[in-house]
Amino acid sequence: MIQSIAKLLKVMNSESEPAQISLAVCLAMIAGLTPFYSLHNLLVLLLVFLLRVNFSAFLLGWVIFSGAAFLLDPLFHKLGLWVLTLPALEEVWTMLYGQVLWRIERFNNSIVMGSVLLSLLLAIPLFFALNMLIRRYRQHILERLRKLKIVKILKASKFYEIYESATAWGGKQ
Amino acid sequence: MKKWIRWPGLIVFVGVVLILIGFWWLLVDNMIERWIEKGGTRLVGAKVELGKADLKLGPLGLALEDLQITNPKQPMTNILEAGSIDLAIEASHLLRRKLIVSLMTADNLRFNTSRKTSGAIARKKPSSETSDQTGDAKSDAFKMPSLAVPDVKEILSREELQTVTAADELKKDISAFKEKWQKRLDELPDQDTFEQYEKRIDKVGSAKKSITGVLGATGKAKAIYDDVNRDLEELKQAKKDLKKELASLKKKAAQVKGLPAEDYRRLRDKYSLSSQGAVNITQMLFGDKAGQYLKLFLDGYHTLKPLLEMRPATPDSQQEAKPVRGKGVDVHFALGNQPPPFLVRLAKVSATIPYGDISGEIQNLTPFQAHLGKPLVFTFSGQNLKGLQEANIDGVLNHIDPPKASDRVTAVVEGLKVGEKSNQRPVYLEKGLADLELAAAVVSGRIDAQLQAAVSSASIATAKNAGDGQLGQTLQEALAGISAFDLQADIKGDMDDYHVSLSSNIDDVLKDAMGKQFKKKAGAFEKSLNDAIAAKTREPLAENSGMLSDLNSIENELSARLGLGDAVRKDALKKVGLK
Repeated sequence: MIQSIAKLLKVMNSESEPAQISLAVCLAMIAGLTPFYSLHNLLVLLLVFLLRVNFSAFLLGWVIFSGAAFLLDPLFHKLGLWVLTLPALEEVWTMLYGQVLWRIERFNNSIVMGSVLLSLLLAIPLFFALNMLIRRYRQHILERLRKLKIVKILKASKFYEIYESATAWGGKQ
Repeated sequence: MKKWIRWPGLIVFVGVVLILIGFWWLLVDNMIERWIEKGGTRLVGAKVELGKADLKLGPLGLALEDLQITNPKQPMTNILEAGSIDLAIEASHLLRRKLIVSLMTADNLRFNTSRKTSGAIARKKPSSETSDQTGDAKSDAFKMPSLAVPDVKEILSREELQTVTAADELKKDISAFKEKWQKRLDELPDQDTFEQYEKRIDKVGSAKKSITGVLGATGKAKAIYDDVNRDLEELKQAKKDLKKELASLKKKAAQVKGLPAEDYRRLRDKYSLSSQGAVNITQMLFGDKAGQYLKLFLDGYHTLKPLLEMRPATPDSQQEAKPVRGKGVDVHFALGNQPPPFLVRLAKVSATIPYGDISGEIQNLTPFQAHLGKPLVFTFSGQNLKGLQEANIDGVLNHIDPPKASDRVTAVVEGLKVGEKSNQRPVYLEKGLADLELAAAVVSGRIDAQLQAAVSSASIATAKNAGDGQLGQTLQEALAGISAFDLQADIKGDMDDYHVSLSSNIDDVLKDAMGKQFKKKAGAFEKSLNDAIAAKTREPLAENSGMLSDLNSIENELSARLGLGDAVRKDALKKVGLK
């Protein structure tokens, strides 16, 4: 856990594009909130590997969002069931139900539908919000943090050693 | 853009995916094997074992080897053993969680093979001892007819004759009648009574010497006249009563006289010789076999029936179920013309039966007939088998609407070698060549089956103890002359309450041959029985007849008294000069 937080701090403090971090977190949200063994998560993994997104941010975000998913299950179920039983959409769902790809995706499951829908809806605003927050953090908070006494003490602690080693593992982000 | 793309990442992704696929490929055969064994065991209720499963991807197919399905009723026996089963699977449906097999090729199927180890599953007792719940065939057990003439004396010492009993009762009635009327006669006016009247009349006659005497005598004579008249009326009533009661007694006596004939008929029917046993020889020859095959058929039918009438667990229309945490619920949508969860469109099967190898085809093999809307159709045939020239079996199992299920099977078997080596029964078919035609139908739980068999080159053997000496010889001679016969079996009724009837022209042959002997012997027995009954009942009947004749004396006595009374009355009138 300490290593993960250290990695996150390293990422935040690195020269990485904020969008690379934000996108990683958004993809982590989709993978984490939705059931792992779903077809769309294969696409998420492909994007994580193929796009130059921050891998540490993705892994950390995945762990956090997976934990949150357990708490949000009832919400996903209600949302998914509501959407799947909307009379206006019945024709669309029936059409998808007859297609192999969508049956593999298990779109007709209440939690799959609810979690995918909610994570996709949140992904776009989250992406822009994170971009903005990371930029502001780097501009206004990072330098001030470095001058704090507590940070100087921490630099002398084991935590900093881990932070350094994390930097070494992570290489150039 | 270049800044955003990480091409080595794609290679890593592909590598990871390939590794996952590789692991899946290595494990999938074992997974399928386990899945079939576990699911099959749960479904059958006894061990289902599979030697090997091999999944093929291009085209998608599954090969199974050494499949053994234990008979749940006999754990040391496999109900089915399959050498190999190849399935050509329709991939598009598999991804929709439906196992649709376009072609199944099953080779080397064998039935009722023995197992090395028990196939019973835990907590499941072998139910080989369980009773047959399909109902008993109602067929009479065979009894060899006998020509032994029953001993008439022994019969009469054992049996109570109605005639004797009734004669005893009649005797008692006659005695009681006689006693009763004797008492009544004593109470009725008799000769003394009328003599008293004569004396009174004489006195009246002697008193007519004066006018007052004449008047007094007339009054007295009138009184005597009235008294005599009253007594005569009493006697007339008694005679009337006697006639009535005597008629009733005579009627009863006449009935008793007819009882010996009834006794004869009853004992003749009970003890007389009958050739009925010989007529049922067909039952003896084929009854057991028919029962065995019928039980086998019904057991198989009861096992198969529920497997044809399953309904898919997932409904066609939208349905919500209680959500399981982290699992959610699946919402289903109605799709037209979707196949059932499991279907074998065409199965080509070759099987080994005791007579050799047969092959055939099965269409629309699915437990979900109602969903598919098509019945199961099968046809099997075999040529030049061991002890069997040719066999063709086809049928339709229609369980689309389970309450109106209609199953029809027709079978034609030619050149079937039949026969047995048996000394257990007095008569048995030693050998023969049978041509069979079977038409069976089970419609809405009612069975209606007809089997026609023409047996040629037949040899029907008789055991040494087949009937008594004379009959045994007759039986042997009659059966020895039979080289061909026809047999017909009819089974009708509810599945759990059916009736089996067997008939053949052997019965007619035997009836002719044995009937004459039975008739001759039976005639002698009937005559001696009749004579013995007549002898035994003669004495009590004669005694009753005599006693009944004696009763006429009572009537005579009454008539005599009436005559006396009438004479006295006339005398009384004369004496007083009224006449």
